[in-house]
Parts: sequence; structure tokens; C-alpha cells
Amino acid sequence: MTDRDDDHSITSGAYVLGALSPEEAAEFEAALSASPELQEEVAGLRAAALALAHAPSPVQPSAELRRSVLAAIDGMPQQPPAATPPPASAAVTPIAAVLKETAPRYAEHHVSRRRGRRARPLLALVAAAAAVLIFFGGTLVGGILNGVSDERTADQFAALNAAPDVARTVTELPNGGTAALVASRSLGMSAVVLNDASGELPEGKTFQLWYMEPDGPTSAGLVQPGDSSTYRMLEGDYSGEPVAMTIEPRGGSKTPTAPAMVLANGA
Amino acid sequence: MDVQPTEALLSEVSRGDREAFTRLYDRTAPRVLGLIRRVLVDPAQSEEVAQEVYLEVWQSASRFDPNRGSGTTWILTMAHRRAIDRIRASQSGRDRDLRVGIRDYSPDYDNVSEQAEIRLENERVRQAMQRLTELQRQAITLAYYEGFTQSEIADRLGIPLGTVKTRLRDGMIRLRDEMGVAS
Repeated sequence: MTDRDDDHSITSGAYVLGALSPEEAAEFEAALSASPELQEEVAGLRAAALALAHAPSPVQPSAELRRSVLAAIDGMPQQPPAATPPPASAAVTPIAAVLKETAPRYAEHHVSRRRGRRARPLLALVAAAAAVLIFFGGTLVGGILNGVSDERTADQFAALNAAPDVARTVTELPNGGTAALVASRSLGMSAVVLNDASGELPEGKTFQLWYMEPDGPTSAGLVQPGDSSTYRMLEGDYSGEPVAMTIEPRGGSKTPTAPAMVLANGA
Repeated sequence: MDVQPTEALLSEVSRGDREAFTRLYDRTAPRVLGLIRRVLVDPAQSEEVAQEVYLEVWQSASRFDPNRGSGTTWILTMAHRRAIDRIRASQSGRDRDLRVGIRDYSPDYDNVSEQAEIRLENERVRQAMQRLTELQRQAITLAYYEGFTQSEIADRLGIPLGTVKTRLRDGMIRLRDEMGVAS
């Protein structure tokens, strides 16, 4: 077998074993999003990789560990169950219909809120995006994502992609490239993978991700596209809510100041 | 004999049931610690990581979805992730000696009593591993149990990256087929 880097199919084994660097994982992930055959292979190999956890011989823990674990959970708070998904009828409402109904109203609101600033060319982006929703409001503060080269992040990304309920949604960007949302409710994690998306951003701008929660959008962090493929773990807990992306001034905004592309309608 | 399924115990744990947590711990801890020890070797570090795993189980039991797989696998997946995190963080200088030799896969249950079904699963995986070629088993072991990336494996073994990829993939395909895992 040759050493062709562009032949993603032979990387599937390394991928399910978590043996890829962050860059390699993102690249493979992009190929995975586009190939049902590869997705099927990965599903089977992932199941085999999970089985590897069962092979080592059991080791009897010390009595001290047991005592220590049981003492540590005393009073330790627990995560609430993931939010109940919206009813199916709401989940499948065509976004275009929502846009038609709400865009003019919110667009007006947008203009006044931004003190008459002209709507950015992003509107073109919105019109072209496959699934679009415009929204404003929300009060929560965003933040900046951690460095991508961090190996812990890479492991999180690998764990996310290995989650049994991992869902991938690819959105074509109007100026070329794609933004894929990778999300798992069971892990409470999500990530965005940008491919060839750098043509999308004006100078001094950044992509910002948002969890679209009932009481308004919550920032899920910023991402700056790289030359080819970039991924970021989203901040905060993913519990199946819709996720959207906007173009914001570098440094991010507290609430979306531009129309948003919906990357996933929620699980 | 504790016959309540692990999945049901997790559901009770998610509602703050300490007694269910204790039973869950007693049932799964030897397997969890066994996996972590397989990766980290060091007993003290391994127990530290096992403790982290169980605190995560306590905190996030509500995230477990019984429709997505067994409770034991859910906990072991967490344990593997944390053990690999630890080994990569603590040995970032990559001064790990290359433990290329494949460890003994023969059963070692002297001090551990377990549910028969868990033991059966363990035996099934071991046997499937024995069906791999030596080189496939080596590559998979380095990746999964030692936490090396494919590039690191290529460096250590002095073989092309493409060869590593092929060994990992062919090995996993054979493992899948031997295990009868539905894809």
C-alpha cells in the first residue's frame, strides 16, 4: 500500500483508534462527512474499537480508592438530564418558512439596534445558505475557544467522533467551503469543522457559534478558519439545541449582530 | 447476587442514588481499573484516573443513553479517554520507552470475581485479538493501549505512515469480522 495522504479510506482504522493528530482528524472528518461508504465502515470499526476496552485483565482496586471515591461524591452536584428535544413538528419546520415569516421583522429590528448600520453583504450569504434563520436578542456572554493544537482537545474531538450518537450536519457556505457540525447529546459535546471557509470572512471578522436556546442565543465560542480544514470544540454543554453561526467583529459579540446560518436544527 | 443491569443502576445514579452508585462501582471498578492500568501501568496514577472516571460517572450519569450502548462500555470509553489524556500529558516529551512487545493476553482472574457475561465479553475480544497478525496486533496495541498517534508509530517502528494506516485498518477490519460486530 502506498503512502498517499489523500486516500482517506485507509485512515479509518487509525481514526477509530484515536491515533490521528487534530489536523489529520479534521481532514478525515471532512472526508467522512462526504462519504456514506466511509461512514458505514467507520461505524463497524468503531464498534470493534469499543470492544478493545474489554480486553485487559481486571485489576482489583484498593479499599482506599473505594473509600475515596464514595467520599468524593458526597455533596457533589450532578448534571441535569439533557434538555428534552422539541416536538417533532417543531423540529422539522422548514427553516425557509421561518425565515420568510420572521426575516423582515427581525431585519428591521437589526437595523435599528445597530443604529442604522447598513446590513452587511452577509445577507447574500444568508440567502444562499441551505438552511437559514435570522435572530437577535439573547443576553449571555461568549468567549474564546481554546487552542486547537492542545492534545486534550484532540482527544475530546476523537471522543466526540466516536460517540455512538454522533450526528454530522454539513452546510455549504455561499463562497465555497463547508461548515460541518459534529454533535453528540450523550457526551454533551459538539464541534464545528470548517473546510476551505477562509474565503467567507472579511478582514477583521471572525466566525462565532451560538447555541440557540429558548431564552436567546448563547455563545459557543469563536472560530477562525485555517487554510484548508479547521475544527473547534464548542464551548458549553450541547444538549440538542439548534446551533447557528454568524460573522462577527474579531473578538466576538455578546449577542449575534448579523444574520445567522443554522448549522444544525437540533437533535 | 446483584442482578440489576448496569444501565438501570446508571439511571438510579443519575437521580442521586448513592447506594446504586456504590453497587455500580463495585461491579465495574475492576474492569475500569484494569483498562486504565493497561494504559498507564503505574498503580498510583491509575487509581487517580479511576477516581476521576467515577466522579465523572456520578456527575454525568444523566447523559447516559441506554439506547446507544451498554453502560459498561460507556464507562470504559470514559476510562480510556482519560487514561490516554493522562499518558499524553504526562509524557509529552515522548520519552516513553517503546513497549512494542505485546503483553500477555492470557486471562488473569485470580483475585477478581465478575459477572459471567462480562468475563465472556472479555474472552471474546481476547480470542479475536489472537486472530490478528502479529504486526496488526502490535500497531493496534500501540495506538489504543499506548496512546501513540499513527505518525509516532511510524517513527518508532521505522515504517512508512501508509503502512501504519494499512495495518491499523486491516487489523480493525479483521477484529470487527472476528467479533461479528454489526456495522
